[in-house]
Amino acid sequence: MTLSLIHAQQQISGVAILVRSAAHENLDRLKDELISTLSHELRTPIAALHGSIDLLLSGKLGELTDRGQRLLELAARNSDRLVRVINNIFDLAEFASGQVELVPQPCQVVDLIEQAAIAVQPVAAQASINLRLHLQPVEIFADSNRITQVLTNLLSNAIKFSAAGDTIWLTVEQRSTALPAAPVTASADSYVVIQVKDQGLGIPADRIEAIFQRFGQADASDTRPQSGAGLGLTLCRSIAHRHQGHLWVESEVGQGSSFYLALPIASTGFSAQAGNTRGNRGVKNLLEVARGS
Amino acid sequence: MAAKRVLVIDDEDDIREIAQMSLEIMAGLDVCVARSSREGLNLAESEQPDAILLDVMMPDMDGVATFQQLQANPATQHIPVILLTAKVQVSDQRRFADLGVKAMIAKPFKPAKLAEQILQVLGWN
Repeated sequence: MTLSLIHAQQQISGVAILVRSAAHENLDRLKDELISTLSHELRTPIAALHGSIDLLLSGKLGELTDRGQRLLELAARNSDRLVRVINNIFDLAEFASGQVELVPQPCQVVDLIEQAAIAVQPVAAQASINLRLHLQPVEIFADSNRITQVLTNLLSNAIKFSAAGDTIWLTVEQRSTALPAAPVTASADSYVVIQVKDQGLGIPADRIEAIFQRFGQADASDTRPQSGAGLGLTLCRSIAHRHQGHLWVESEVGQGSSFYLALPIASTGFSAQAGNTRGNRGVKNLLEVARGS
Repeated sequence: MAAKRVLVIDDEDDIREIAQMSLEIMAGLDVCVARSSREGLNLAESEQPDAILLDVMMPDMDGVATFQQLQANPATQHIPVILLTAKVQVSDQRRFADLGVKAMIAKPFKPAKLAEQILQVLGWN
């Protein structure tokens, strides 16, 4: 092969790389534009539905019959569900394309858990499910909204897959050992590990990892007892990983499931600084948030 | 005392109507509406509302450009503007905050919350 031929091949190869790179950039731009447009086009009609239902439910437009009220509550529940699914889809797309910016700040794990527990409390009470929290004060540096989102999702799932009279335990512990099957980004010296344990059906061993994949559910059959797009846990794990933490599950069919969210504990200096602002908050043990009748 | 007046600028008929009803019913505000940025700019100048609720994504001129025109006009630059947006990314929020908007409210919004947030942000409660 002559030198000029090699040079020509190198040039062609270089051009091909540039073309591929340009095509890739175009594709990324197209994808971002598509997400942005779809986000607007889906959220706008939902905002109209959501708003109309809420206005009617406010009672300020007059009383409804019992059946009318029931139908409206049904519509509200499903519109909320639709909003959650759509938000999850766009959150996932934005996480995948690196568009999501976290807003890390010092926060107390106890506060985030309490917010999540308050959010799910009405559903737990309605389903006659006991929710027991064993908390301890730990300082982390995290996006509080995102971590609350993960905790709310884990508790909601636990409620969804529990039966009336079941108990869900949420416990907090500190751990300095390596996390099981954690990504390389999770390499902190110590973690706070939040466990959400339920008494539900459990997850078959061959479905354990599938539930963290998009559209994955423990029971993917058409006759599965619980609905859901199977996006929540994928998103939760993405959020955990973005915090250099991890989310995993241990489960056995018939024995319930335990989900673990591990987040790096804030550095000593950081904790001390934040600790001064927090005062002497005491340990909360066995706080029973919701007990069904 | 006369009710505070809010101008709602949104190209989506349904959203505009719900926002109007929310603010009237939930907060007792007086609401006028505009279906485009151009109409909104004119109404802001002629009606002198106490606040403006402005949609970000509109076809003729987006919310940011509309806000900048409101700021550039001495007759409207004093009116507090709240953006109504489906864009809830932190970078967007920072950009909007840097512009000087009073607040951002995410879509989809709950009517009761919309009224409450507006009253709170503007110190009207």
